Amino acid sequence: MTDIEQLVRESLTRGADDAPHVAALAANAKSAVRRQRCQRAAVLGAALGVASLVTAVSLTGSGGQPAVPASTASPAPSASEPPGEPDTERANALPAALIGTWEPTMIAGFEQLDAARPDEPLVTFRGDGTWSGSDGCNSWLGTYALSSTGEFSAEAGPHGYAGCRNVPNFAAVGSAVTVVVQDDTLSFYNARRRELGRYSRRPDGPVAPGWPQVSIPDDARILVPPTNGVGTVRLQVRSQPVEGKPYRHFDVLVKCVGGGRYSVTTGSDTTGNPCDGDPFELAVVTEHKMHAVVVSATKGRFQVAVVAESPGIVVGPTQQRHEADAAEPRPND
Amino acid sequence: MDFEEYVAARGQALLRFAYVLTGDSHQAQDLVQTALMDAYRHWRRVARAEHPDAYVRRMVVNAHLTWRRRRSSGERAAADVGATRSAPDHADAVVERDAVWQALNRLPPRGRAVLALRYYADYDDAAIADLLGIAVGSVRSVASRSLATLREDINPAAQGNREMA
Repeated sequence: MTDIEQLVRESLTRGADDAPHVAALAANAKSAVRRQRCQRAAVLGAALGVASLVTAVSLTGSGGQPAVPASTASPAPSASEPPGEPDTERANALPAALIGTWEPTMIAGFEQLDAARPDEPLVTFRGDGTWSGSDGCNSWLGTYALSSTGEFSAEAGPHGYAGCRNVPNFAAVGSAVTVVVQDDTLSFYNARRRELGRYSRRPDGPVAPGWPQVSIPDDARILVPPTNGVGTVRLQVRSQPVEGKPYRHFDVLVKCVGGGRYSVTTGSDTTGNPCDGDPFELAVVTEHKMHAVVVSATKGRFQVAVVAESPGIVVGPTQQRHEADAAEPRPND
Repeated sequence: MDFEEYVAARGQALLRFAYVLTGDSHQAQDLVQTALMDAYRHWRRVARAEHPDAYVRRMVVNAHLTWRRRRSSGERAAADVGATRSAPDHADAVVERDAVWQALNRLPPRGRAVLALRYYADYDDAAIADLLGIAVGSVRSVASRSLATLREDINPAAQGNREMA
C-alpha cells in the first residue's frame, strides 16, 4: 500500500468516528414510509376524483362538440355512469389495469432497448398476483402486490444470468413502490417519484379476471385517407357485456397510427348505452394528416367491433380498398 | 432477522459509511434514512439476500450517486468536521488527515465512493465494480485517478508535514 493509500485509509477511518449518532433510525424510517403512503393515497384519491369529474363532464356535456381539447396529446379514457352513484369500479381500476403484458419503451439509465436478443424483454402481470418477465435471455416468475392507491411491490424468483444486453426489467419493476397506468402506458416510480421505467401494453396479454377476453378482428381498422384538412371519422362501436357483470365505464382507446392530433367525443346522436350492448357512436375529429385510426377496447371490458363508417372513410385491413374507394368524394373535399 | 434488529445492529455502521461517503453529516443522515426506507419497504427481499448489509450499503451508494448527479448547482459538501471531531492525539497527524479529508471532499462523487469502498469498507475491485455497475477496469482507473488527484491536492500540506517530521 502506498503512502497516499495509507493516508486515505487513515483519514476515512478516523473521519468515520465523526459520523453523527442518530437514535431511533428504524422508527424514523418506518414512520417516514407510513407518511409517504398516506400522502400518496391522498394525492391519488384527489387525482381519481378530478379524473372522474373530467370524464363525466366530457361525456355528459359534449353535445356533439369535441370534449377533449384538440391540444390533448393522448386519448382520454371515457366514463359513463349515472351521476351520484358510488364509483366502485373506478376504485378498483388500478389493480385490474396493470394486468397484461407490457413492453419496455424507456428504462432509466438504459439505452439499448432496441438491441437484438433471444427473447422479447416483456413483463406480464396476471390477476392471481403473479408476474413473469424476461430480460431478453433470462426469465423469472414472481409475485407482486398492488393496492388501489398505487402502492406496489414485486419480487421475483431465481433466474439465470446469461448475458445479452440484458434489459433491466427486474430492476425497474423490483425497485418500484408506485405504479401509474394511463391508458396503455405503465410507469414505475421509486420512493422519490423518479420514473424507473415506462412500458407499453401489448395487445396479446392476459386480461383482468372477470373481464372478457377481447379479440379485435383484423378488419376493425379504419383507414383514413391522408388528408391535410379537418376530417371526421364516424363509426359505431358495439360493446358486448358479460352476463352478470355490471359494467359502468366505457373505455375506448383510439390510436392514431402515423401521428397527428385528434380528439375523441361521443357522437351527437348517441342513443344507446354501450354498457348494455347498444350501438354507440364515437366521433374522432382529426385536425392533421392522419393515416389510420384503430379502435379497440381497453382492459378487456368490451367487445368492440366497427359496424359503420362515414362516407370517405374506408374500413378494411388493406390499403388497396382505400385506393379503390379513393375516387369517391370525401366530406371535406 | 427483522428490520428493527438489523437497524439496531448495523444502523450506526451505516451512518459511519454514509458519512465517509459524503463527508457531510446531514447528507449522511438523509442517505441512511432513504436507504432504510427502501429497505423497510422491501424488507423480505433484503432479508433474503446473501448479505443484507451489502444490499443496504448498495442502496446508500446508489442514492448518493443519484443525488449528486441530480444536483444542478454542482454543490459540494464542505468538510463537516469541527463540531464533533474527536480530540487530536497528535497535532501534525491531525493536520495531515484533515488535509486528506478536505481533498477527499473535493473529489467527484464516484471517485470518493470508489476510495471509500476500497479503503474504508475494504471491498475488492470486483465487488466495487459490481456495486457501482461499472467494469473492474473502470474501478481501477477511477481509483488511480482519484489517488493522483489527492496526491497533487494535498502535496503541499502533506509534504510539508512529512518534511517537518
